[in-house]
Amino acid sequence: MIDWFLIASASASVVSGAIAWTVAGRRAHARAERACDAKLAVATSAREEADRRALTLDHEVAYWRATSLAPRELAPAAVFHDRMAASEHEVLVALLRGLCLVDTAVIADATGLSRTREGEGEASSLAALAAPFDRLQSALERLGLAVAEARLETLDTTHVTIRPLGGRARGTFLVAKGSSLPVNPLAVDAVAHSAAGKTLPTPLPRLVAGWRGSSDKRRASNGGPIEFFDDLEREMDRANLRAAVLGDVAAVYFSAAEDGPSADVRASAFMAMNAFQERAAQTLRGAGMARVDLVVASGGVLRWSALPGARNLGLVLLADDGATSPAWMERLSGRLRRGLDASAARASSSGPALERATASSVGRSAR
Amino acid sequence: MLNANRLAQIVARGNPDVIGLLVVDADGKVHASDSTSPEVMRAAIAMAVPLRDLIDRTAAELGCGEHSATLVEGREASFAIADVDGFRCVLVIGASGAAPGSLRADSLWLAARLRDEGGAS
Repeated sequence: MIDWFLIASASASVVSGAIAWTVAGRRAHARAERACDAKLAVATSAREEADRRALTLDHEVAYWRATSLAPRELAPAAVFHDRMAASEHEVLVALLRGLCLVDTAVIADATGLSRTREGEGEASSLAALAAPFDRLQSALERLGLAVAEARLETLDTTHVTIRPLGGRARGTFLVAKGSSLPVNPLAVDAVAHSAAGKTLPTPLPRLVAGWRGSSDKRRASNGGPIEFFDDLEREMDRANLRAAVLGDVAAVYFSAAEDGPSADVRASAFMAMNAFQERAAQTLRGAGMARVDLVVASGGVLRWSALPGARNLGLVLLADDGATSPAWMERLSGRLRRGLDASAARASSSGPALERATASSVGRSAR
Repeated sequence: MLNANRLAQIVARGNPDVIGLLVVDADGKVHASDSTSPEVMRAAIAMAVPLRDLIDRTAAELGCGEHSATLVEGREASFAIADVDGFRCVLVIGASGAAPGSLRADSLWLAARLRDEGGAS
């Protein structure tokens, strides 16, 4: 009996000991887990804090570079010597070369000289485009508009994309040409992203005060296609455009804005874009420029469209990101172009008749 | 087929970056020229042949192979010289502040077109 009692008590003590051991172990494990979690949380928090600091510092460096160099009009590459080597430029361009829609791609500096090999005949001309683009970018920056990319289309459907590069390739431009179709924007983005590397891109100002808040209309009383001004104004409202300017190399004939840039800014931007397209057309030696799209840093588009004819008119339209599709802009410029063509045709058909009428009246008066 | 003078006009006319353009051969014969500054052109004609000789010899001595194009950047302005066919060369003189790359591209384009057009002058 006593044996059974001893066995039972021993078993009970073993079981209770095992239970106590298990419970204590679990508690210890839970404590250790909690301690680990706490340490992990501290480490995560410290890492996030460090990331935030690094990000802030990168922003500060980029901001400092942008603000300190802009008034002196110095290229960052001239001051900061962490420039990309030629072989690295080749690696960047190699991302585009060989793609089916890319004919030629080069990386050029602001003087228009190529930093990459110029195997193809037209590569030097493409590189030369970087110089007028740099001038245009500076001119528009002075007007308060940051340009992120330019897309050019000639009348013989040659497409050229110009993208300023950041990071260690800052101060250089990727210029890529595709015939019949534009170079894939994703491929251009990939090159720009690779060039930027770990460095954050310079924070570009969005549409600033000078490009917002002005609503006025100015029309030339004589000169320019006066008969189309009403149409242009109506279409501008319908297309939800922020600004529209119509003119030629000598003057601006029509200029209007709806919560857009002021009249002076519009005229300056028009002249800058007109000069750029002329220079670009001359450099590409094609059939002339059909369209120049400037992608604004805020996502909007500033578009110059050619209105071919005797007067060589150009139309500049400004749209916010998502507010107006390029198709609307195309529709508007196409409508204007057709109207001008019809007007020119009427003028040419009535010209000889007028001459004949004038000649007969002169003959009658002489008689 | 466009002759050298017509091609020179295509490059120079209406181009604010170019103040003078010259196509000259190794004997000093001018095949085409277009300029807004006659004084500069007279100096360019006088200097083109010895300059070309010097560049050719330097390129050969330094193992650069045949001369293709040279760009000289001054503090005020720049000029570019491009070889056409080993006998003729193109000299493009830039205006003050002109982008050197544009001048080089103009000279290379004109040289390539002259090569394509053959002996037209």
